[in-house]
Amino acid sequence: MSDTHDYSKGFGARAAVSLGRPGLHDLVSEAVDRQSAARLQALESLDDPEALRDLAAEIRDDALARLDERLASLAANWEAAGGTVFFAADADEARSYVADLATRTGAKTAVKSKSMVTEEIGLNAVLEQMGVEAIETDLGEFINQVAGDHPSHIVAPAIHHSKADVARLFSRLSDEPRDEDAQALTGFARAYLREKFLSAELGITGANFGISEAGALCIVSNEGNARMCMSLPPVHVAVMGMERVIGTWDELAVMLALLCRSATGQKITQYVSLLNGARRSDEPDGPEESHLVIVDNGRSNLLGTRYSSALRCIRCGACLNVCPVFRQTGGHAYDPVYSGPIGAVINPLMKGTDEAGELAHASTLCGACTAVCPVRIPLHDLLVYLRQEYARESAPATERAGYQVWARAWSNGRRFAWFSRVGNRFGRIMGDRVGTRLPLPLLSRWTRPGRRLPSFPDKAYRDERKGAGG
Amino acid sequence: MTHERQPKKVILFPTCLVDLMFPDAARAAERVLGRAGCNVDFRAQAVCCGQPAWNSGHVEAARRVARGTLEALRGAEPIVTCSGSCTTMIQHYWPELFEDTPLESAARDVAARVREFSSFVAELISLLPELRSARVVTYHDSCHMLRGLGIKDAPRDLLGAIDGLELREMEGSERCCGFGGTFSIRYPELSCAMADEKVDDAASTGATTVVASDIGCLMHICGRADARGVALEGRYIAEILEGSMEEGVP
Amino acid sequence: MDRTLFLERIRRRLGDVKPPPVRIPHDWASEIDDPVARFEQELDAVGGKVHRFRGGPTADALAPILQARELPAVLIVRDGVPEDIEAAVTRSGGKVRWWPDASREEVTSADIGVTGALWGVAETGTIVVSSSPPSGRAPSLLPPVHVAFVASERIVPSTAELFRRIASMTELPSNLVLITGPSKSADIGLELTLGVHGPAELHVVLTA
Repeated sequence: MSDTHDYSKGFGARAAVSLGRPGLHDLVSEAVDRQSAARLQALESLDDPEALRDLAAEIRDDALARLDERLASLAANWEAAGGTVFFAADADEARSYVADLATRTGAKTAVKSKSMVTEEIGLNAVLEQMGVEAIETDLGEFINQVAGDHPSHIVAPAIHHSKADVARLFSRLSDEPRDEDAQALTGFARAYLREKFLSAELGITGANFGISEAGALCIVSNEGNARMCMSLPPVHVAVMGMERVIGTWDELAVMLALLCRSATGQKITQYVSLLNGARRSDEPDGPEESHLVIVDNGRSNLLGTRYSSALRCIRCGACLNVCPVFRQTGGHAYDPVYSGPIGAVINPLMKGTDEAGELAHASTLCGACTAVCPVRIPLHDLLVYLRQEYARESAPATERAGYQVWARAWSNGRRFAWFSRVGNRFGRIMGDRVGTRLPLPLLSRWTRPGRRLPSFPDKAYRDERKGAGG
Repeated sequence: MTHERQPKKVILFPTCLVDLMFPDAARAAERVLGRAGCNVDFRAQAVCCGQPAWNSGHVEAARRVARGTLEALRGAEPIVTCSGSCTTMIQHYWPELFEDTPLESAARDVAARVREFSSFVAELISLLPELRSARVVTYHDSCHMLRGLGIKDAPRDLLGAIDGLELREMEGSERCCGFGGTFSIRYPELSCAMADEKVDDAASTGATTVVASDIGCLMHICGRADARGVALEGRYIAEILEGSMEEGVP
Repeated sequence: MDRTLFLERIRRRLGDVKPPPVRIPHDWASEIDDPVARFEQELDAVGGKVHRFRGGPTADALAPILQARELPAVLIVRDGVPEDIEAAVTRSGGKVRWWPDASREEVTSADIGVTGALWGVAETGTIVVSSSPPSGRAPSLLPPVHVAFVASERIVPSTAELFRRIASMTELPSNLVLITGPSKSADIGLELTLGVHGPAELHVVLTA
């Protein structure tokens, strides 16, 4: 089940591919329901989760309002602890920096832990091109890599693969039949990847938070692969989206409490690694070099705009888990990297509306995303703003004209009444054929997938109501 | 005692979809309000809140449509609206829609007066006559009403006040049905796939009536159920109340 | 990109009006009456095992862990663990490998890693291991079983308190790791599996 979605086509076409995939809905809905339930339960362990969400939003806004200072001090403190920092304006600069590191250190193998920003900048392809084997070590990402696939969820990247898929993929990889036994399949992955960890020259991770006052990074994982990537190879590079910085350790405690609960329903993940620069001279092990790459790549497009709250995002995936659209399509219908409501918001902004503007329409605006966001991003309102840009700049002329005609009819009680009389009479005569026989694309799109129109009444309410004055 | 009360003046704003396609629902709302001691006014120039255009990003078209409605709804009375979604549009988004226009303060005034039907009537529940029904129903929480207005209990309180009516909660009642206004036309197949889950959840309660406070959702859910041959009729909450006032079925 | 230019580009996009600095209330975390009991309960809930050790030979504390394996190779850090630990391991038939003196092959093939810990956290059942001597990174990570000795008095009530302690450290190590139970994943068929990359078993020996 590798990703066969065509990203040159629109969301609708990709959604159709997803809808046509047997079993996908069951896999996705079971996974998101479970994570949503776990989230709710985990929030109960907080005294006042709503107040903490307010605080988290405030923490993120504070960091974004002072982003230049925060990043400068994060970098300075990281360097003071022996680390190296590179600021990458775009994907190309970020990739090149890591590629140069690989060249300089003579790396043949790079082990990676799950990192959405490295997916975003397309790091693996560049490393592979130069002959460096880039191995995904998060179990879900590893499954995707073996399948030649993209992540379909920000937090749980392989939810679109069933256990049977994994058994098949691992059988193929190892040339040995493998049972559909999750623990045994995990054991195979552990042994396979352990060798890679021990032989890799380069370890690559993302970063969940940068703590500016300490020059520290916080990286969470459940499997321990991130710890391997940052501890075993002689060179470690952490790639971080520039917005992921916060001010203090106290703030980290709040953010961590919400991230873990919102993402996986845990009070805390199994491992939370706090990194500060390079290995000290008296430390018994650890990498010889510690690099931090801070990536912009379109994020600054959002700063100082009505969309800046989207940069609060901590990539917990809670909005994906409650999204009724995501539930049907999974992540691939959106984008190979960022999916769900947050993906629908940030993809158009980071890439420019022309390329990804249609994504803003991939939502019913039901607001479930906004209701769960731990940092209170008004996701469905941002989608409406994006649609405004789209309507102004990219919408087909027919759409714009259509709304003008509609607005003329609907903006006046008498015109509306006239329309209702004509429309209802027509509807009564034609019945359901109104959707199939008439050249009315809006109505046929209603009935096309198998959806009946309601019966048309004799009169609109306004015509029934006696003495209806103006 | 109730008949001695001064009738309460309200404006009924059916909203365009109800007005045009579901006059029974508007009539039911009118009658229920009347029985709850309200003097119900209707403003023919109030057509639509502008939401279809607003949600599609066409701000000018939204403002043009909403302007006529806004002008017509001026006054001091509560504006009882037959849609949680349109109430949200007026309450939450009109102030933004009319920001920096001469109508800004009028928009804020209307936003403060607009009330969703079920939450308005729930406060007058003691004034209603005895309500009886033998129906078995399930309730669908429409998104804007639930998350935009935070109204979850009021419609359930109303249904709970009907003697003999059984409310069977469905799995995922808070999940969007996939209507989403223009979404249903933009992505018809996806929209229907979403409806299918809702239809299944509703039908598996054993109820054959699904009640909601937004007729758009019902049109979508039941239009899909109908095409699939699933027996599921949609009823706007006011229709259930009205029927329970008259039926008196044991 | 040049750092100054990068940061300048950001600065230009930000307004001059800054929100007031955030104040984090001291007491946002729940209160905890009995931190040790809570620690035990939380760690148990995530699949870790707590052994209370009230003095006596260390062999008594380690016996249940060591006996579950045949002649285990035990990688032990030089400090922060009881002095009689070598005797305890040898008596159960295990082989002691001292960290960090052991060879790479001895480290990567060890069955059990034994370390101390800086703190425990009651609210979450977490222990904190530092990359500084004596622990380093590998002994708590590579072997399939991790045993950590933690003094009960080092258990702080909440992660909020833990981060206050970390903030007041005079010198940070290059790596502090908060460990909460065994390594786990649910990436295959949503089934919980243990020991994906890190240890499949975590034992915390609470010393008085």
